[in-house]
Amino acid sequence: MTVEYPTQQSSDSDSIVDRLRAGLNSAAAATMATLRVRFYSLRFGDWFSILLTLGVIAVAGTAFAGTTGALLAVGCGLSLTLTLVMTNSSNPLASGLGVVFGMAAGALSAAVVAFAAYILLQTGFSGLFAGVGLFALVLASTGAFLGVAQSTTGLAIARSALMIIVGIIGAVGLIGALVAPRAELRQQATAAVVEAGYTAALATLSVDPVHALSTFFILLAAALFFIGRTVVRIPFERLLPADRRSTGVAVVQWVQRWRIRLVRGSLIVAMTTGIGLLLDATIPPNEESAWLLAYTQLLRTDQLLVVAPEPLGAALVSVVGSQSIRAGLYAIIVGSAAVLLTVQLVGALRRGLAWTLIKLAAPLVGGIAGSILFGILGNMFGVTALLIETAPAQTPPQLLELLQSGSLFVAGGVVVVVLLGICVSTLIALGTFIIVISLPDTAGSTALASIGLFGVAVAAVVVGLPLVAVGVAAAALCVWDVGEFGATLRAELPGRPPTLRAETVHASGSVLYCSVGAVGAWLLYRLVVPQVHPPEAEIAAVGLFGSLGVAALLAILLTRV
Amino acid sequence: MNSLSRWHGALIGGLLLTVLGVLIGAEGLLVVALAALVVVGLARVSPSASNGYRIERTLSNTRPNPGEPVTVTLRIENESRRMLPDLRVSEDLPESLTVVSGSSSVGTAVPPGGETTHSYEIIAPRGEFVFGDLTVRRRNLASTLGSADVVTPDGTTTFTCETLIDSLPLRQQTIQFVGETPTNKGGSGVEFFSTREYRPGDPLNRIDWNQYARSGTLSTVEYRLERAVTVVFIIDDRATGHVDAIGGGPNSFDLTLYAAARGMVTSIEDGNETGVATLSGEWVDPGVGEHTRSRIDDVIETAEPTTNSLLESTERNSDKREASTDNADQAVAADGGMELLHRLPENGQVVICSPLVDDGIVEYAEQCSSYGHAVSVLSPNMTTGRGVETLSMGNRVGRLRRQQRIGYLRGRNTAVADWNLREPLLLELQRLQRRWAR
Repeated sequence: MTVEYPTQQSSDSDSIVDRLRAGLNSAAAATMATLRVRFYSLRFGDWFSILLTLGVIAVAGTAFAGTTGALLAVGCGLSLTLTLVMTNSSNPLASGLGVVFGMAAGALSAAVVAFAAYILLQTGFSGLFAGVGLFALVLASTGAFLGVAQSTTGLAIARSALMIIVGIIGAVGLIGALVAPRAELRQQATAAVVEAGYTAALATLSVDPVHALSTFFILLAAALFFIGRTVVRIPFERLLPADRRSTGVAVVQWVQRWRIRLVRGSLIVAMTTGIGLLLDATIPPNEESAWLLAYTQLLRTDQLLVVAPEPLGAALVSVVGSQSIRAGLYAIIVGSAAVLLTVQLVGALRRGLAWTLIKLAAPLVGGIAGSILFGILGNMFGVTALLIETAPAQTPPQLLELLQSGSLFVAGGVVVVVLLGICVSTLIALGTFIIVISLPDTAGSTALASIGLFGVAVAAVVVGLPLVAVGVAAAALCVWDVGEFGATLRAELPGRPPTLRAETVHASGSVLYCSVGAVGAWLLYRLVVPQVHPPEAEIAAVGLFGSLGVAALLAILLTRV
Repeated sequence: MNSLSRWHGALIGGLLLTVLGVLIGAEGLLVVALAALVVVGLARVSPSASNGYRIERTLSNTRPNPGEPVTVTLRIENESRRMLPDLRVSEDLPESLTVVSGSSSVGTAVPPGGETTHSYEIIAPRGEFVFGDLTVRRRNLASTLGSADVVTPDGTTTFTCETLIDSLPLRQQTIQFVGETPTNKGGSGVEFFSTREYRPGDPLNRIDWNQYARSGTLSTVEYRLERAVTVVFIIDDRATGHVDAIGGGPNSFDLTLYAAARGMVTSIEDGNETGVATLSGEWVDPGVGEHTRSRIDDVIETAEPTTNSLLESTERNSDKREASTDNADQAVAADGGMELLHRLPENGQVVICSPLVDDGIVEYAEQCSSYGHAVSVLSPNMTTGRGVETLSMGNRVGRLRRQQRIGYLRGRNTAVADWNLREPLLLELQRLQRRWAR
């Protein structure tokens, strides 16, 4: 029998507390150091474009989405930025904290979507564009907060998504550990998982005509993307004789180039048809919108089958509406992702076993800590009960029963899993957008901010704020001009050479151009608009989709593959 | 000038919105489209940047001492009548040069007929260096047109960093020749030392007549006796005894050699018999003549860090001694370090020049001291990096261990001139002189 003296107990608990405190201090110090580096590395051009973007978001966002909408958008952008930056940190503690920020990003993303849906339901057709403007605000604020952080690459977003998924695994692990020892809860949980899995499988394999066309092309793009990433890992050239290797490499490169084009093309088709289907699903049918709905409804597979030329339409619909093909695409995506992750993990473990395990453990702990934190806070403020009450109708009842009967940490864990899932979805959407528009490597965040502001300008026009729109459009161009200029300076003159004079001269010129552009555009608009008469609906619709196609082609040709 | 593709996105967006606005009758879209198209149009018609500029490079010192910063100044002059709104100048420095302050690149704008300057500091190891051409990238105000020029600037293109000489104070172990090293003895000299009772035969010009007028007794003025010394500078040229500078610049061997050279030539000019030895076996007998100077020059010129040093053979031999005590006498006999000790002139001073990065040189200084030589150590402090704000953990440990070695030597009455590289060598030598005077 061993006797444990009170002093020993105290010492042990003290040491644990001290370790925890030291760990938290270290994480806070790392975060502050990262932020300090970010702030210190900002140049005049960066500050100019960031502050201009945030200023425009504050003014224009409030003008057409209200203070709540603007604040939600800025909050969402900030939390997404913190998630991206911190989950990409090499400090494991910072990446663990990044998972906690991911929860906030998920919650705010859900709030933005809910707010956009609310506007849409309240105001109809123009509400749709107000919602789009809200997403554009999120995009712009994300770009502004990212600043010079190189976190707008596909790889950085993929890494963030992976960290968040590991956080989800941590939260699921906690739920499992709490549920497994209790037979009743275990049965409930098993039933909830089976039900949720069944619902998810039905949703993913669904070929509902409302979305089938768009989701098929999204799946196709994802499958092509993952196939390409997997094929890159296979050293084909080593299988060839030495004299034929260069030819083999050239062929592989050619195939990869076209694969990337196909991925981008599929995503553009998915987005274009997706917008059309969204319009079809959300715009209330009336005289004003009848002409548009007459064409958008053609994107539904049941309508497409009727109007499309016989062999082509049937073939297209049979492919797009085939559940087995979808299942095959999912299998390719999941299989390729698993292969990639395994190869990546094995490589990382070979390079440094302990470090890799620590880096994987950090988001895992982040997910668990988030579940515990949310469980306590959710119980304290009655948030969990509120979430159960307001759960969507599709939520499996077994899951709700589990939340009600399980411990507060189980409820917290489930909510964390949902929030982190939303965060992953947001990151995937952001990554898809970045792949489609092919952001420049050196000025990705500036481009994101500028595109977001341009989207806000378009939305402002549709909701009837043309003066705000012209100002925001000019600001978007100015943000791009000054921000990109600073980025090229940083790339061409590394270190911190003095560049203030060049940057101020350029920023002054840019403000001048954009101001003149805005005033000129406004004057031209006042002169030209009375002369414009809309053409017939059929011509307009053909022009609409034709111009979308031409824009897509131009984008593919002019941007680097 | 080349066209830069910065506005493709705005152009595509503007055209698309124009088409959409016209086709679907959403006239509001036209205002956004027009804003984009007008800005793109204005940017396209922005005039190109002039190439009428001139760049001149000047150096604050074309013959710096090792470790001494050199300020490089680039003067950019716009000779055209148009503004240069964006000029990005990059200097491709030779690899061994280190920028310690500022940046070798600059992005600036120059008004018509105006000029601007940009300065930065570099430090160099020993050798001759040639500046290359400058890469200059120009852009117009809207940054839609750009070009890259390779420009040969006017002004200085080369500079040399070499070992130069200054004074090194020596300790009071003199020989019986008149020199310029002050002693604590009275005699003939320049500086007042004391007065004493008159002795018959004292020169009349040294009688203190003021004292005689006041008290009526004769006394003789004595001046500080200045004697020559014999001094041997031992240069630590072991490869294992040297390190690279933290943050770049000359390594510890260059700085050690530089410090030794400064001391040696001054010593010769003061009339001291000066010799030099290296731990790799080079030896120049102490002397003051041209022949000695020439031989010292040869040693300094050809000195390189080596793995074949006498001290290392001492260490190897001591290892052998530990391994086989039977052969102890033979090992001592073959000891190169001891051989050097025996060659040192009796009553001669020893100045060991070393960065003190290991314990071997400390043991050797103790050996010299035990043979009756007054030992001084002149040591460049390589743990104070230039242009480095925070030291790594390894460097901090290295600094602590070096401080321990210095403390150990000073505790055994060995004067150590700890040369902080951020200060001129002369300052540390003066500190050393003050310490000796006590």
